[in-house]
Amino acid sequence: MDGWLADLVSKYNYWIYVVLMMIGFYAMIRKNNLVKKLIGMNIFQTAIILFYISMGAKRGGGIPIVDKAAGLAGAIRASDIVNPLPHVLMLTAIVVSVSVTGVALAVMLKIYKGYGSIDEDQILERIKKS
Amino acid sequence: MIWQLDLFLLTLVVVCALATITVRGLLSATIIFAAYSFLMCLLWAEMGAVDVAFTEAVVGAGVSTIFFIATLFRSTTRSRLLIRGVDDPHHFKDQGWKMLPLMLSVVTGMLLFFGMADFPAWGDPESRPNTHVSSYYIENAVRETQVPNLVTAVLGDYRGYDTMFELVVIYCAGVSVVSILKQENL
Amino acid sequence: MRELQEEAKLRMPWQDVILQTSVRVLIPFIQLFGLYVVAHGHYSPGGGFQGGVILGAAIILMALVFGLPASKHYISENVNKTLSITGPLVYCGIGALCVLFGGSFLDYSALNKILPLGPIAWRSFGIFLVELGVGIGVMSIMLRIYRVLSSAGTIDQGL
Repeated sequence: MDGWLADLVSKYNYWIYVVLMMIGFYAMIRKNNLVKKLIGMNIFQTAIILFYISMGAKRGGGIPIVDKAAGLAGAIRASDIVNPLPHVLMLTAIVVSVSVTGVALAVMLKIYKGYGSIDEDQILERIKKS
Repeated sequence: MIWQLDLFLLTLVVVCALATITVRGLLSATIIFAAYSFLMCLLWAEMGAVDVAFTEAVVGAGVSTIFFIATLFRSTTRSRLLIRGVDDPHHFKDQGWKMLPLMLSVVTGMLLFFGMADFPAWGDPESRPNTHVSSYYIENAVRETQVPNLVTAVLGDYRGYDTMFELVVIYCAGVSVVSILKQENL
Repeated sequence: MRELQEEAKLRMPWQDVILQTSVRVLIPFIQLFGLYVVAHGHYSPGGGFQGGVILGAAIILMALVFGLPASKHYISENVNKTLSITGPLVYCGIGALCVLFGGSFLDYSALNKILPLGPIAWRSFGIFLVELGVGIGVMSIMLRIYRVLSSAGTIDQGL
C-alpha cells in the first residue's frame, strides 16, 4: 500500500463513523416524520458503537475468546487479542438502545392516539388548534 | 481483518443509511434499517467483536424491527408527502431556516473531521485505548475467573456494577413503556 | 394500516396451517438455543443479553403466529411481570449475598463459604448466576414491551 491509500485505510472507519453520525443527526433534526427521526437516532447510536469498536481493533488480532490452557499458564500476549473492553461497553449499549427505542415508540403511539398523525407539522397544527 | 472487505461493507452501510432516511414508505424504511443492522453486524464480526455482532444481529436487526413494525401496525405506515411551496413543514417556513439542519450537521461533522487527526490509526496495538487496563484483562482474566470468553469475564466480573445498572435501566424502560400506554394498573 | 387491523380482527381464530405447524416445531428449538446461548456464554459468543433476547423472541414468534392470547396462555401477564423484576433481583441478590458472606458487593469469591469449590471456580460460577438473572430479566422485558406496543396498551389482541 502506498502513502495516501494507507492513510485512507487507516482512518477509513473514523471517516465513516463521522459520515453516519452526520446522516443520523440530519435525520433527527430535519425529517418531518417521527419514525424517521427515531431511525435517525438509531443510526446515530450505531455510529458511536462503530467508533468504539474501531478503537478497540488490533491489526492481526484474534477474537476475544482465548485458549483456556494458555490463559491459565499466562501465555497470552495482549497484542494478539482484540481489546475486549469496548465490546463489553457497547454490548450493553445495544440492549439499552433497543429499550430506549421501545420507550420512544410508546410515546409515539400515544401521540398518534391523541392527534391522529405522526407527522410533525400536522401535530403542531393540531396542538395550535386545540 | 481484511481491509478490502472492510471498505466494501462500510460503503454499503452508508448507502443503506442514506436509503433509510430518504425512502418514503415507513415500512420500507424499517426493513432497510434491518438490512443496515445486519451489515453493521457483519462489520463487527469482521473486526473481531463477535459478541457485539451477535447482540446486534439478535437485538438491533431482530427485536427492534419487530417493535417498529408493531408500532406501525397500530399507527400508520404513511408519511406525508410535502409539496414544495404549498405546504412546507411548519417550523421551516423561512427559506433561510430550511438550510439550517444541513448546515448544523455539516458543521458538526467538520469539527469531528478536524479532531480525527488525534485518533489512533486503525488497528494499532500500541494505541492509547489498547494499552491501559484492557491488556491486564486479556492477560489475567482467564487465570482469575476461569472464563475463556474475555467479554463475558469483563461483563460479569470486572464490570459487574455496569451490567447491573444496565439491567435496571432496561427494567425501567419496560415499566415506562407499560405506564405510558396502559394507565389503569402497572 | 386500518385495513390490516380489521383483517387481523377477523382472522382471530387463526388458520394458517403451514405457518402454525412449522412454528410449533420451531419454537422448542429456538428456546433450547436460547438456553444454550445463556449457559454457554463462558466458552462462546453469547451470554445473558443475547440468550434472553432469543428466549423472548421465541415467545414473540408465538404471539405473532398463534395470536397474543395464546402467548398469554403460555406466559401470563402476571408471571411476566414477576419475571421482569426477578432478573434484576437475582443480580442484586447475588451481590448482596456476597456482602453477607464477608466479601465486597459482587465479589463472587466470597460465596466460597456456602459450598467450598475454591474462590476461582466460584467467580466463574457467579458470572453464570448473574448471566441467568440478566437472561430472565431481558426475556420478560422484551416480551412485555412487544405485547404493550403491538396491542397499543390493551394487551388483548396483537399484531
